[in-house]
Amino acid sequence: MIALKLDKPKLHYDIDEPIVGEVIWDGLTERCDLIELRLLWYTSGKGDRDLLVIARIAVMKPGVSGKQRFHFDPPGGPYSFSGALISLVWAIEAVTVPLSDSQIIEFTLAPSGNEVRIGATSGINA
Amino acid sequence: MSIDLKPDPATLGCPARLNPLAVLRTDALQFQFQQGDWESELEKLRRLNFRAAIVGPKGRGKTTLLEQLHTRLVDLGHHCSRRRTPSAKADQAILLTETEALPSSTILLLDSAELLTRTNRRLLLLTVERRNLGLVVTTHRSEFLPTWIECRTSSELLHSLLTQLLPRESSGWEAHANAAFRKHAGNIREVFRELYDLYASGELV
Repeated sequence: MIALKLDKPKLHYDIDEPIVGEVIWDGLTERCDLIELRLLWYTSGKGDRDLLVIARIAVMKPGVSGKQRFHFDPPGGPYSFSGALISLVWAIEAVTVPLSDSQIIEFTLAPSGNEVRIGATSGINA
Repeated sequence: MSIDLKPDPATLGCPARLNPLAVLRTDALQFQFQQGDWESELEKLRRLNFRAAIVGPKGRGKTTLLEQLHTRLVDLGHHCSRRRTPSAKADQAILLTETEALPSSTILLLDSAELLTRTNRRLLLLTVERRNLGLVVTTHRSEFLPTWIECRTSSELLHSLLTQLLPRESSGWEAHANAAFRKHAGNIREVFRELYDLYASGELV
């Protein structure tokens, strides 16, 4: 079992905030060489998926159980967004190598804390 | 001066990341055999010496089955190479050259083999024979390899898949699904795309 916990419970990050948290594991086999933590974004919607891993952290020889703090530098962008056809979703993923277990936790990266809604029209009132 | 963000009618429905028909979700569906299961179908494929075709028109799950077969074969210790048939003749020649270089006993999983020219089809079979390779293709017509599985769809299958995808509280989708199934002559991928739009627009929730 792998669990991911981010320090900010609301899972909303500004673009200049680091992503900090903890990975906890239990019941892994001795065959597990490492746990890889990935900071990534992916798209979801009507079309094919795009995915980009921005940064990786390796927890070498994790053993059967344990925990470790992690810190990813502020990703800077792109903002989380959603429209009718496509969304961009930020996430931290933890994967054992060789693959036997994984966990993913999604978060919002945007200045206001809310994802940008594509298609929203702006009205300017002078 | 103030700037208001007003919601556009087009965004009042379901955001893409929550759309139950997002490709991310439909791609995760497991292929459903009409008869048998993975064990019996893999035995059938073994008897065919891993040289066989997955046959059916567009949107019947052939590529889904090929992808899931890939995972199963790798788990069983087979060496596999999955490729999509290029449409250009020059690229097909590259595919043949690369096939020639595959280690013996590799199983080549080739999507959209109907795109191969007749000559390249023959050359591919000769290479497979000479290099002692496996070859499983998806194709619209079974022409050059025995059929392993013929992919068909039905409204029952569509309903079973949609029941897995849609939220329990979702209602009113059956009539749309049935109409789309008829309109697209059983192409389930197109039905999913049409229903995606209905959830995106808020017509279905």
